[in-house]
Amino acid sequence: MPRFLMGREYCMEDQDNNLSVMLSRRAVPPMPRKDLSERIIHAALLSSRDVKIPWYNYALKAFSFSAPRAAMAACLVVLIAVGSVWNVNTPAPVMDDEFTMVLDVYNEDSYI
Amino acid sequence: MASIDDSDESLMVAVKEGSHQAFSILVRRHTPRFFQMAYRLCGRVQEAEDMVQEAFLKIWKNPMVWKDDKGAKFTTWFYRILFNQNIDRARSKKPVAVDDEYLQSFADDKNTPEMAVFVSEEQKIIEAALNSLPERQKVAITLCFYEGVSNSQAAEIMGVNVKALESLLMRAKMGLRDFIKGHDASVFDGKGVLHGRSR
Repeated sequence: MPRFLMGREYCMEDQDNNLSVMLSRRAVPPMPRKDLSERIIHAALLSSRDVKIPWYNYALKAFSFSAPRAAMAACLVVLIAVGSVWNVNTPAPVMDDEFTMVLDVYNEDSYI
Repeated sequence: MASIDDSDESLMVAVKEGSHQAFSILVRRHTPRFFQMAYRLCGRVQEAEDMVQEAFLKIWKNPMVWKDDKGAKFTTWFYRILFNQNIDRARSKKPVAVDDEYLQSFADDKNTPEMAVFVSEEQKIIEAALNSLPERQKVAITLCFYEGVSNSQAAEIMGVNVKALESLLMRAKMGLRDFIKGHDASVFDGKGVLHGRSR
């Protein structure tokens, strides 16, 4: 126990006060070197900046709906759009009989 | 056009628009204060300078992280950046042991030109006591006691609620008391008298 507290009640308030006094006697931190600010400013000039909003921010903004229903509707629209684009770009499948016909023509020509 | 009379927040808006002048004003205005905060956390001049420089460059390179619509104070926000950097720093390196070597470093600092303060034996023990605390408790004490930040602001900076911050402060005080009891009771003397010890 600290010596000055011997012989009297050691209450929590005393402890807090003494701790505050102790902390307040901590050494004052030094000031930074004078050129620190200028060094930071100079380093900033030399570095590149990323001031454009990244693409994913645009994407997030485009789909930031306040209500879940609106978000669901947006998802549905996107799915339909993707589905229709997929449908247009995909070639129609070749049927079995068409394929056989092509083979037959080829075979006949080669025999002649 | 940014001027030195502008508030931090309006300067930050200008920084977002690419104003290097606004950035320079912010840096010159706040570097000493943020440096002292960083120094209190890491205890080394070079490391504290690096922390401040890194934090400022972070906001210059990516100013979009500043959300002016949330009504946050620039200083609170910057403290948060420093706090996160300090946590990263503490994770990446081994904790500084409170030993003779650590205490000796304060004595060494005393001889450097930038450390123009008198470092007494007593202050070395205070530093050692603070350094013995877990990182978050140390930050809580630094913010609330030395930086004069309110509890709610400190909680915001540390990303915890006010109750959790108060708990951190309570545990920090207990930790400090235990350390002092174990090392040197005379530091606890509120009258500034060092008993049984020669300066």
